Amino acid sequence: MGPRSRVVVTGAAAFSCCGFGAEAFWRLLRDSTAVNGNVGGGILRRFTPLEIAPSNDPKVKSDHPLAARLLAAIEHDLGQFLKGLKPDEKESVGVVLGSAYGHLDSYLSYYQMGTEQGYQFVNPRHFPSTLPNFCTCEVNNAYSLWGSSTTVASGLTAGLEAIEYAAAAVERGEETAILAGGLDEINDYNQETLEAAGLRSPSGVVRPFAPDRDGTVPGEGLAVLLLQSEEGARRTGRRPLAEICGFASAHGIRWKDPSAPSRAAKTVRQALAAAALDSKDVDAVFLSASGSIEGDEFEFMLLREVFDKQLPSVLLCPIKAAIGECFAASGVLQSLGAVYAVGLAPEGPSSDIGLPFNGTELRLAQQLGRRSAALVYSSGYDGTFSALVVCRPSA
Amino acid sequence: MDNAERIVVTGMGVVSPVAIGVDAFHHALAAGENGISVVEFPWETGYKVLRAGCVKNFNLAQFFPDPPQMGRASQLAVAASMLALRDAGLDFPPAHSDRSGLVVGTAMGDVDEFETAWQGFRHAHARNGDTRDLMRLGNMSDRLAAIFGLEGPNHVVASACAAGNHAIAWSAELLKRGEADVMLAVGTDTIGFVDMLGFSRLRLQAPERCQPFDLHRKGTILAEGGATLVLETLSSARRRRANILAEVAGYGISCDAAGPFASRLDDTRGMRVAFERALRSAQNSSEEIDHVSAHGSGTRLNDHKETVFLKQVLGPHAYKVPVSAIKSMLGHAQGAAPLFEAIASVITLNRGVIYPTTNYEAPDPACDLDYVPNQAREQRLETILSNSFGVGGNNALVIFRRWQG
Repeated sequence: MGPRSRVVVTGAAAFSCCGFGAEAFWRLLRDSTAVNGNVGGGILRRFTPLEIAPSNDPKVKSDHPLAARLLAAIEHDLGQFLKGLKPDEKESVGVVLGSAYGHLDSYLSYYQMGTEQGYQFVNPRHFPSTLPNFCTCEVNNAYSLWGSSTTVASGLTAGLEAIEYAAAAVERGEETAILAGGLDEINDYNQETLEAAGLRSPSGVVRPFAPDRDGTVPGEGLAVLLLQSEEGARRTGRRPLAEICGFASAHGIRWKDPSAPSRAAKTVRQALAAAALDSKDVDAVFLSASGSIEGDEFEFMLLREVFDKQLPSVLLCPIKAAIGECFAASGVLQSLGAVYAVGLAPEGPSSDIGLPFNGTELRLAQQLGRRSAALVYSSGYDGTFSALVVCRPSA
Repeated sequence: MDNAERIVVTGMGVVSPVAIGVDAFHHALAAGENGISVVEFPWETGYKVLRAGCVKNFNLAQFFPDPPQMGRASQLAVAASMLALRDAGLDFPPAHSDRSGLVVGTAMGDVDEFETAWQGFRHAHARNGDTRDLMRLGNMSDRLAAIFGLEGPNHVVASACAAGNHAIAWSAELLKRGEADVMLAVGTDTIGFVDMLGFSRLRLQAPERCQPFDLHRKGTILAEGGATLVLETLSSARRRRANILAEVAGYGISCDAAGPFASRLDDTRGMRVAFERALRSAQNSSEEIDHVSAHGSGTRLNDHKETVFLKQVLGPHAYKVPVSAIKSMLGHAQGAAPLFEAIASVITLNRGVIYPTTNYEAPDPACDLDYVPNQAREQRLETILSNSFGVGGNNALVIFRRWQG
C-alpha cells in the first residue's frame, strides 16, 4: 500500500441565511457577526436560481427547490473548476452529501398528492426527487462527475460524516477531488419535530450558553467543501485553504445521559489522535451549541472534559447564533468557519468576549485572527456526534 | 485489496420474500421459488392488481422478545442482523463493543413510521411524544446499534437501490482503516405507497412477473426484506477462529451522471468506472470473474444496458460467464436487494450452486448472455461480481472471492 495522501480544502460553496456563496458566510465571520450575532435563525429567501446564478448550461439546473439552490451555489463558487476538468479527470471526481431530512418535503407532497387527490395527479417525473439520493445525483449529473455519488443519511451529523467519508476516499487515492457537504431545509416535519421535542426557542433567538437561552431556531442551508489530495491541488493550481487532519464519529450520545460527555470527549480525542494533535494544540472550536437548554449544558461538560483547566483560554465560535439549527448542514457550515479560521482569517490575535457559564468564563470569539488548528464537532438531538480537526495547511 | 488487511464474511442473515434464514433462502432460490404475491394498498396506483415480494408471516417478536416500537424496515433489519450475528458466532453486545459497528443501506427507510408521524402532526394528535428520533433515515442505524450493543462506527447510506452494496463497501473501508474489527453491512427496505406509486406511474412495475433479460419483460416487481453480512478483518476472524465464508475482494462506486431520466443505452461510462475500481481493488483481471450476480431488475432499458456493459468490460469472456438475476424470484427489494444478492453470491461460492433467472421464456436478441434460465446449475466458482444500480445513477459493484484459508 502506498503512502496515504494529505487531504486539503481548496474551495467551498455555501448558501445560508448569511447570504449566497461561501464568501458571504466568511464575510460574516470577518465582520464578527456570525459568532456572536444573536441572529434569529434563518429561512432562505425563496428565489429563482437563475436570478442568482445565471448559467447558460441547461445541465446546471433543477426544478427541485433544494437541488436548485445547491446547484446554484456550486456553480457560483466551484463551477469554473468543475467545468475546467477534462472528461477523464471527471472519472475520479465524486460527490458525497449528508442530509438529516433528505428533502422530505418532496416525499410528503408526493404522498399527500397520491393519497388525497389520486394517483393520476402525481407527476411521474417527480418520483426520483422523493429519494434521499436525489440532490447528490443532481450534482454528479450537472457536471458529469462519474466518481462516487454517496448520500449519507445518519441524522444531524450526516454533513460531517460526509466530509469524513470524502476525506477517506481522497486519502486512499480513490478520488482526486470530491465535493463533500451537507444540506437541509426547513419543512413542516422538522419544525413539528423540534416543537414536539421542546427544543424550539419561544423567543426565536439562538443564545448559546446564555443564562436566559430558551432553545434553538430552525434554519436551513447548504455548504460544500472541495477536497483534493495535496498533490492534486498542486497539479490543478489550487491553493490549499486548510487541511483535513482527523475525524471520528459516534452515535447514541444522548445529552441527558450522564455518560454522554465522556463518550463524546472520547470521540473528540480520537479525532485529535488521528490528527496527531493534543487538546492543547486546538486554538479554536466551532461548536454545535444551538441555544438549547440541555444541549448547551452537555457541550459545556464535554468541553470541560476535553480541555480541562485550559477551557477558559479556548476560543469558542458558536455559529448557530447566526445560522440557527441547520440540521445536517450545520456541521459543514461550522467546518466552513474552521476553514476561514485556519486559511483566510487575517494574521494576528483574535478578540473575544467572556461569558460566565457554570462557574467558568467561556471565551466567545468576536474577531477571528488566523488559527493553527480548529476543532469542529456536531452534536445532534438525535444522539449523533461527529468531530473533525481542521489545520492550517503546510506551506 | 490495496491494503494488507483482508476483509472476510463470517456471518449472514436474511429475511426475504422467499424465505427467512440462509439455509431456507438457498433451498428456495435453488428450487426457483416465487416470492411474489398480490398486495393491497388503501390507495390506488393505477394498477388493478398489484403484486409485490412481501415477507410472509414475519413477526419480530419471534426473534426478539418484547421488541421496541419501530418501523417495518428496521424490524426486518433487526431480524436479519440477529440471524447474521448468530451465524457468525458473535454474542451481543459483543466482547469489544467499541470495535464493532454497522452501516445500514436503505433507499427509503422506515416509510410507515414517518408517514404515520406526519399524519399525526397534521391532525395534531402526536405532539406530546418524544419525536426527536424521527429523522428521515438516521435513527435506523442507532436502533440496531442500541439493540445489539454496537458502539463502533455507525452510519446510514441512502443510495437508492445500490445502497446495500454501498453499505458493504463502506463497512469494508472502515475495517481496512482500522476503525473497527467487526462491521454489520445491513440492507433493508419495505414497500411504501410512494415507491409503489412512483414505480407504477413510471411504468417500471411489471403487472404480473419479474422477467429479467426475457424478450417480453415488462418491468420489475417491488419487494421488501432485510439482509445482513457480518464483515470482519481477517486478523479478527482468525483470532476468534470464526468460520470464514468468503472474502470481500473488492468494490467500486460511481455515478452514471446522466440524470434520472437521461440514461442512454450506449452510455455505460459510470458503470465501467465502478467496474474498474472494483477490479483494481480486488487485484483481479476481468477474465477471473466467473459468475455475475446481476442487478437484473426486469426493466427493458436496465437489463439491456447491463448486458451491453458486461460485454464491454468482460469482452468475449462475457459469453462464458453465467449471469443470474434472482430478482426474478424475490422482486426488487431496493436497498436490501444488493445484500440479498451478496448473500446469494457467498452461498454460491460455498455450495457450488448458481441460482437461476426464473420466468425466462423468450430470449431477447439484445440480451444474449447466459442467464442461467429457470434451472439452478452446479458449478464450482472462485470469483463473483455482484452488480447494483440505483435510481439517480448510483452504481455499486462488489467482488466476492472464495475463501481459501
